[in-house]
Amino acid sequence: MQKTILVLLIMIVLGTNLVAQNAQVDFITPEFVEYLKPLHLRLDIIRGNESIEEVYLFYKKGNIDYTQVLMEPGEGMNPYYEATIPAFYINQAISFYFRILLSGGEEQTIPSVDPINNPYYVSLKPEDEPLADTSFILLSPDQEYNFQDDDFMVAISYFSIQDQMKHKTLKLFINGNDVSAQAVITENLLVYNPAYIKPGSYKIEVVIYNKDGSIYKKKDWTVKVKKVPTVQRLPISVHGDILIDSRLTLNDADTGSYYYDKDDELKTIGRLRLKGERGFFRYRGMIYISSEEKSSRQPYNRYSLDLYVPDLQLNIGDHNQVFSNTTIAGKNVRGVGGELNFGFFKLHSFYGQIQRHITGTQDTTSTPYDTTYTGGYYDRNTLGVRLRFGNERTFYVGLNAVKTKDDMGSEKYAQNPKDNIVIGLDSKLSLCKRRFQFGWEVAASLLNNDISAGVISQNDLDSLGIELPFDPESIENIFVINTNVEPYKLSMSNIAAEGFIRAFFLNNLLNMKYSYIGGSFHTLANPYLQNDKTGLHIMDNVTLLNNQLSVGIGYHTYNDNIRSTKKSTTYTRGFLFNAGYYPRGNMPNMSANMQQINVYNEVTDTSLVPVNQINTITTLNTSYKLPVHIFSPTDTRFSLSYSYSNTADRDENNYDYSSNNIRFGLDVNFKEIPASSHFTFGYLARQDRSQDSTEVKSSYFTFGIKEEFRSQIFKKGSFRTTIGYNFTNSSGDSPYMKHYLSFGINNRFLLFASETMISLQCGYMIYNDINDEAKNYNQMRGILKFTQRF
Amino acid sequence: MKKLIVYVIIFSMFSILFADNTPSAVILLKKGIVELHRQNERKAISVGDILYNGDELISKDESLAAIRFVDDGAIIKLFSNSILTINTKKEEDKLGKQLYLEVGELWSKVKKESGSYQVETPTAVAAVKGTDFLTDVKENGDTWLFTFQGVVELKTEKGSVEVGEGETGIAAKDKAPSTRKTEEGEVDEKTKEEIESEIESNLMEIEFKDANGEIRTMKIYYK
Repeated sequence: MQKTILVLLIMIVLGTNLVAQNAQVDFITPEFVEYLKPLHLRLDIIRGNESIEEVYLFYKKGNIDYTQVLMEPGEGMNPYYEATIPAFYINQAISFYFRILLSGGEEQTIPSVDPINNPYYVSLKPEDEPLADTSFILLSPDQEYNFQDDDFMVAISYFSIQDQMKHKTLKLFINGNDVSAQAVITENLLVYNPAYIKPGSYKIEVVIYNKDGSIYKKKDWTVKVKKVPTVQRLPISVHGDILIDSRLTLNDADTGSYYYDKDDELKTIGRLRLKGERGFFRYRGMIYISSEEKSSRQPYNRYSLDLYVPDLQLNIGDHNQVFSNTTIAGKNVRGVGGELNFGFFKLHSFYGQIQRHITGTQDTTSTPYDTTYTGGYYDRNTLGVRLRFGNERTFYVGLNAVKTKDDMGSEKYAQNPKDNIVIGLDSKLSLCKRRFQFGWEVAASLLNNDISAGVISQNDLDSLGIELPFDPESIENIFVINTNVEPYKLSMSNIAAEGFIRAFFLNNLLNMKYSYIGGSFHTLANPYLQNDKTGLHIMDNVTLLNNQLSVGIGYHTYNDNIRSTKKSTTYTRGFLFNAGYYPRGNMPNMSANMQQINVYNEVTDTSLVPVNQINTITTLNTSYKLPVHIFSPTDTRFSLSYSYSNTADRDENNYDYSSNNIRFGLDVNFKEIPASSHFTFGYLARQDRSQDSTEVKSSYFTFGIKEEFRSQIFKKGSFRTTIGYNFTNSSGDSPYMKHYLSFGINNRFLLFASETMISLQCGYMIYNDINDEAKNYNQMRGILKFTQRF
Repeated sequence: MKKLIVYVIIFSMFSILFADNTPSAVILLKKGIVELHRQNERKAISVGDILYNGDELISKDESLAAIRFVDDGAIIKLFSNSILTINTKKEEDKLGKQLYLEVGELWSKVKKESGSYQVETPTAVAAVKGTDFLTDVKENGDTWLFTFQGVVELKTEKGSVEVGEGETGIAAKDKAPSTRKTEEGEVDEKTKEEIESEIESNLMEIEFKDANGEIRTMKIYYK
């Protein structure tokens, strides 16, 4: 009986995660990331978008801990969420996963199985060598530069072809006039220095002729010459930008549709960013306001102001604070903080809220004796102090303390107010010009799961047979001690330790990390840190063939039940293989990624359920960019991606979920016509078999076309018009068809010499449910976006 | 005496025959007075002047010269009261650059994948690949190096250090070089302004009327 109940429970949990009762997504790992170029990630939602509250992207590189960002809902026929990993972060391979928060407080992750240890992985495409024609280099003037008229001078280098220049004749033309006679022409450099030049636009052309008068090589540039007026500066510099993003959704739905009786929706965000300096003083500020801000959820709005003077910075408002992985690693703290940095010594501290109170509800109607409280949260305040001795580039030791406590007076209907204190030590050593790094950290925690009962009395301590060298009441302000403290007795279970090695030699990057997080180790300031887990993670990347081939191999092994407090131990073993071939010149790129994770336990007790789950994700990508003549010369890029994923119960064969996803893209950029075309084709087939051997097959087919036209209506700027059509056909349990027609304009121009961008996108969607007409609906969507830099 | 004259003539001919007469760089911008010393010749430089291997530049008070190398691998700015010798060597399709800064301030912006780039001073050698940094040789010969972007290796006879972004490297005679965080005000405001003038296109112009009703232009630079 017990076994049956456990089986059922496990099936429910797995079902929740895997059968996609919640949200079903369409996602293929990108082909690669490029050095210092942003990575844009988009998670398409096929089904279940109605139950999604928020979607978060967690990303990391090497041994660095995950960074969390809230993904923005996107515009389109099928709902999607998008986020960008910033360019400055990308200097090695990136791992990431998605965490979807669903209504009712449930969560779903993509990938579904152990995403923290088994995230998606994208290799780094090695830097390309410049392929630009360097036969002629315009050394002066710069093409967009303001000049004093008496400084104007043309200098053209042909350094790279100077050895091929014998018997050739070189000529310089300015606006079609041959001025070669007035130029100084040497073996590798041409200089033309006119006595005077008027402001205006000039075409500079250099030509090398063959003996027979035919052209051997030529190149031209257009240069604008502008006289520089006198300059006045503001007493303190002010730079920044303003962003307003507004999204409207209008519904027209039949009675059986989810959108029937749903209000039309308007979501707006506004953001102002400022920065500037005067002498040694600098400042940076941001205000982010969202219409999604509600008192019933944690804050969406963000406010921050940073002030900097030499050796000192002060942060006011919202800041993502980072000490170490086992203390606080990027959690947003709303309050005050600062850093005092004297080079060898640094003091970093902060105080503020990591969770704000949310009013809950009280229910006394279910039984006359019980009162049920739901949905309430306390204000949760955190104080952190970090002392660092040493140099971050060579060797340092850090001492961290983070204290987090719920404010019991902040909310009536919340329960189990907590108190948590974490003290840690960390250090890092960098050698061989930082090519070799060794770091470690260790921390100990105490958590009180319910401080509402107050401090334990001396009598209660005596009755429990516990002797403390101090009176618990005397340290109440530091930590509340009572019977809800975890661990009950100090042991290794409230210790966390991590160590890592990073070595980069001979084009080989090795990352190794060992972690031990005790079962009673808790840090409320880093809630996604898994406890009762120990293991090792190894990843090695090598680049070969003059950086054209990148190969990565990774392995990780973890287990829980460190101190044998559970009846069975669950093991996780995973490996990852990644290879990318990025040849230079006119050759296609290819990449392959395979990751497999096995979660199993070894049980001898027949009352326990054996688990042996295996999850495989394989992705193949190829892309090819080549010049194709379609009415006119084009740069055309073909891309083809295939992904296979499977999650199966290896021993009991209770379930087997698999999907095949193929996507083809064609981007045509016309060189002589200001237009481009984009075609996408996608097909996703799912096959889900559950315990009763019923098999559910579903497929999801998409086709999209988007045309973009560019024109220049302003002197400096661009005007883009897009028109698109998308079609989706989904089969399976709830088959449907969707048509989506979209139109957009994007205008970028200079206002007061600063960049202004206004864009408007509109779309109209028709949803037809194949089984039930009553579920049909139409939606109109619009996005207005305004950005002003200054 | 005759022998000496013959020797001088032969030496001069050899010098002419074997001297590297390939241009190395060109003067893009000049402010104040910057002198060019080439063999026995001495003249004030002008915009558009071509520089050759072995040329020496001496800048006077309130002066500046901006120079770009023919392979477009680096742009440098020589500030006031500085002495710089330019040595270059063709390395296949690249141009190796070895500059000797005797005294004064030199800002360098070096592209990746260009030829080797070194700034030698009386006390140190700074070697880089793709970076943006300022070298300041004090009157006592001490070398201060400020890295704005990338990493510079600062070497002396006593050792070497890497000077990263936002750091200052210091090399003094008979001492191992050291590095620390750049402090506010260490780079002269005027020097900073000249370095930043490279991004002059990021400019906001606002026209307004002054108290006399005259139209004036306010220019705001942003990064």
